[in-house]
Amino acid sequence: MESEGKITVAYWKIRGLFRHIQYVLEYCGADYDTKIYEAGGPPDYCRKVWFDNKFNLGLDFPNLPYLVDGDFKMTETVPIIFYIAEKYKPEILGETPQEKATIQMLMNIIHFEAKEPITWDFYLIEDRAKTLEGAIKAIEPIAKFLGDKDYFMGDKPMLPDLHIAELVHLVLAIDTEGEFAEKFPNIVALQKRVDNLPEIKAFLESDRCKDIPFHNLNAKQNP
Amino acid sequence: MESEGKIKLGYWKIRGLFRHIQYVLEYCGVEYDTKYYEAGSAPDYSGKDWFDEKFNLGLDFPNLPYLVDGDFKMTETVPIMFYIAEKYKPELIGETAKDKGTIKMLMNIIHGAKMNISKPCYSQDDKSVVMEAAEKSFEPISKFLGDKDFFMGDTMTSDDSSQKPTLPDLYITELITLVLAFDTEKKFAEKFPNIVSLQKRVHALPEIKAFFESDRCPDLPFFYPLAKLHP
Repeated sequence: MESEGKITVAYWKIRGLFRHIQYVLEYCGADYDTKIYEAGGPPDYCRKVWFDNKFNLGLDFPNLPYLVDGDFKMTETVPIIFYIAEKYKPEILGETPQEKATIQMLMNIIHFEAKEPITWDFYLIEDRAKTLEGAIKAIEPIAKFLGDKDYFMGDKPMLPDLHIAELVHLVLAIDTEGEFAEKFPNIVALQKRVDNLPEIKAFLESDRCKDIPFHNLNAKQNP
Repeated sequence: MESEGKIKLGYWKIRGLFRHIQYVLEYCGVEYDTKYYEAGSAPDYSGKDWFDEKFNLGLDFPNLPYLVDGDFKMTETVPIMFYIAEKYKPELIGETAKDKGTIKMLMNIIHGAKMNISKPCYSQDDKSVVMEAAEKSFEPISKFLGDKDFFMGDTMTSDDSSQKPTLPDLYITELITLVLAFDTEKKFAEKFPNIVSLQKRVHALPEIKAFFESDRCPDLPFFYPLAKLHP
């Protein structure tokens, strides 16, 4: 089977940001390879495997994740996600300027106001309750936006629905007393709805969905 | 003159993120109104003017800047810029998936640079920390630009080989102005002459030149008054 046209996405050997990208790759039916960089364990958590190669890959802004599509290379998680959608299933980005803008705004909020600060807490603090509190605060306006709709934009899944699903998995993994699930039943329902989409269901049952940690091993919390 | 159809933006009465958006509005020839929120008086600069209204404007994710276009409302600076470009001058955001991808990546990188350079101005008053962040951030950006006139060079056009500005060129210009305002020893300018040329080239665009000469470009501080460091 020729790999021409097959894109390569590279990341650490963790769910991290990569599982978010996989939801989009899989929903869009993209043919892809994965390049995995495996960080070391305690006590050094050595990342030499990446840093030895980082500046020799022809990336303009070297970072993980990166995407290679023939001659084309890029970094930056959310732009990568938009590229995949644009190329394989542009309808999930919206039709009118207002829809496109709302989707971009939601992606910004989910990624920079929720995913990023929540992830920092997992890496930097041991306090599970405080992390959960931060997650609840971040998700509150997002849950309000969703309301009683099936998906953020109405009755069809779009990019923000695919993006938030993995984040909900992460938060539920520390929601030991069900506080988050009780407060945001619509968000939990959305995550289940996305995971039940035929393409995602097939992915979750495949060997492309590996049982690996959420975070690198140096994280203070790694559920 | 009726203001129906005129879009409205809200921001603090500073240059901040808003001046970046104005470059896009002006280049796209958009008619817009601005609601400027006062920071208030020293020493608190409480921003009461904004906080009294913040949750009553029908915004899903209340923040500044915001944009209102008839029934449509949004926040988030970079999405706002993309909305304006999408609606008024879509060639600014690329035609092919690859060009769109590169432009989105550049916008992310430039926004990261903006945050890395501005944030230390609010938390501490050592200029060298800011200039170090600026050099670190601009190094790969300057390398990407190389000797092109604009970031996307001539990849954006099929029929003519002239180079045209795209959204990242318009976004980065105000950031260059901010850094140069701090660059009293001209070290940054010396290190990144192509970046300085880009700023001048954007400033020379007829739409931008006209904007500077208009009353829509008031003489305001870069930062909110609570910042510890101002150029």
